[in-house]
Amino acid sequence: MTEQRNNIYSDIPAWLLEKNLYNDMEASASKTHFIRKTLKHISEVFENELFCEKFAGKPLFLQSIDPRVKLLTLIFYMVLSSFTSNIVVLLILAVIPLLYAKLSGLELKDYIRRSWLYIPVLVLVFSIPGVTSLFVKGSPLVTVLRPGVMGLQSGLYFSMNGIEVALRIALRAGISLSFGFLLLLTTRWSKITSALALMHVPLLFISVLNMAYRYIFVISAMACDMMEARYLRTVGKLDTSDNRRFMGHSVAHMFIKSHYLSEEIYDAMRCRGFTGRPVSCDKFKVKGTDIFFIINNVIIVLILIAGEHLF
Amino acid sequence: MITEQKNTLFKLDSIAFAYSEKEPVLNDLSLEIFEGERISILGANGCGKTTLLKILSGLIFPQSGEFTAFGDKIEQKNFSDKFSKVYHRKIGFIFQDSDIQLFCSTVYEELAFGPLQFGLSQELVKQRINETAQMLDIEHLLEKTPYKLSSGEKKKVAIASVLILNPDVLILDEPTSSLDPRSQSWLLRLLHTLGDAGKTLIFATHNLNLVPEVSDRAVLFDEDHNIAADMLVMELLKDEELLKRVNLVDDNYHACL
Repeated sequence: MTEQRNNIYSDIPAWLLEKNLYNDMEASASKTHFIRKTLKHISEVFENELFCEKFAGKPLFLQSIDPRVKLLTLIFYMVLSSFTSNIVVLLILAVIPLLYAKLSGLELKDYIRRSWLYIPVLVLVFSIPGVTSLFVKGSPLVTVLRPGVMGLQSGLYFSMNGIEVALRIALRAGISLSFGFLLLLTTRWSKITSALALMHVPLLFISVLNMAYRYIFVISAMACDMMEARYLRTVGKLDTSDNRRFMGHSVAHMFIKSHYLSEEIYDAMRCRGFTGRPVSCDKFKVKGTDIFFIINNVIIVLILIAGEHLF
Repeated sequence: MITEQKNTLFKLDSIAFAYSEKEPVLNDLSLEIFEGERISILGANGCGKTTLLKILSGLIFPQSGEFTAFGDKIEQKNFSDKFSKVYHRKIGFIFQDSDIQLFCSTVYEELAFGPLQFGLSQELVKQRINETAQMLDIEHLLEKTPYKLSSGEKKKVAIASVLILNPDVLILDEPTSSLDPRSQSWLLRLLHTLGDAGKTLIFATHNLNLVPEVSDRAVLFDEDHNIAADMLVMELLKDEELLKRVNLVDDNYHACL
């Protein structure tokens, strides 16, 4: 047996059997931590899902509402925010999801951070050039350039009208996100898609949504494995071009893997009787609490519509 | 070749299949599988085991030769949606990678998917889900999303999603991969019971320890994608030279153990 083992080892280069002294490595540390950052972003996909599951399972206010009722109500609020131009009504609409979030046991600090801290702020910043006096006229409130400077006859300033336009855009983005997050945080994904199915949204569309949701995690896990493998073999700083090349290869690899996955998944579905027309099993019943929720929201909407003229 | 007085379920007559012209995976393959048999398809990696299982499952079709299943000639042009449903109701295919097989958002929906596609009533579907989950001890997983399960749990759910349809033929591709020893012995017990109940069991594996536990007959592929042997498992396992030739046993591998 020892002789046999020696035969196997004869194919292995000598350096591989020597103890490594690690004195041939001269590497500077990476300052950008590219791979670590990418790993962190991928793991956030999972954390986000776990965060949603944590609240969706609680037996609290919005969690106990029929998903169809909840879906329609929250979408209605989003549509309403797009139609109203009254800042006060928009502010009230921004407060409603916060109240619902509190009643549903969500962590308000985190909920506000997710809904209001990133996208609405970005929308506000990006809309600033569009609400200057170049596009929205009115009496000057904040002057940036005096009349005549840089060839601008009336100067460059922000009017109250302009600021209101920017606020409206940012508020609408924030309100839509708030209601969207509220729905996702208080309803399991499977219930949302079941509700869509019962609302006669084509089942094929729902199947595609479901599979995209399901396999984003499989693909994220694959990407995470690739990044970890790379991280373990990376010593020191890498060129930006190397990082770009690695990302390009990773994306191509993921694309090929996803294509293979999609074919295999379709085969697995066919094996269980799928012929292109999925069947759903969920049945929901509208309860007393749902009717109370509907009445409550109808009253709020009527007040808001009246407020459109009053405020 | 083993012949018994049983009904022929699958008959492959000189079939060939290639994913690309230069690399044929199956070539001039002839094989007969009988009702109630427990059969292992053996061979080294890339010898064509999974391709054969996919042909038997009606997922891909031979490019030449004749394939008959349940008395019907199977061809792509005849494989209508209606025929596909009837065919797949009889055959349960458990994939090697459970992640591929679990595509719904909860385990409950995963189990319900097959029965609903086949038009079972809601009440019957519910009853079957409860009974299957109880049998496989996965009741506590029903409301969970499949991607959060461990490998062993995923395998159990994948098996449950197929067993719930009560197929006559069960096809398993590397059934014990990703299972820990306890789950492996659980699966073997289950397969024994299903085999005793008259189900036809077809396995693809290169795990020789598993073969005598789950099958009576073995079909052995060599590395050139041809059938090197078709015999009783106990006879095959005694033929060490043959197993070495097809790369299922290796002197050095065993010397290192």
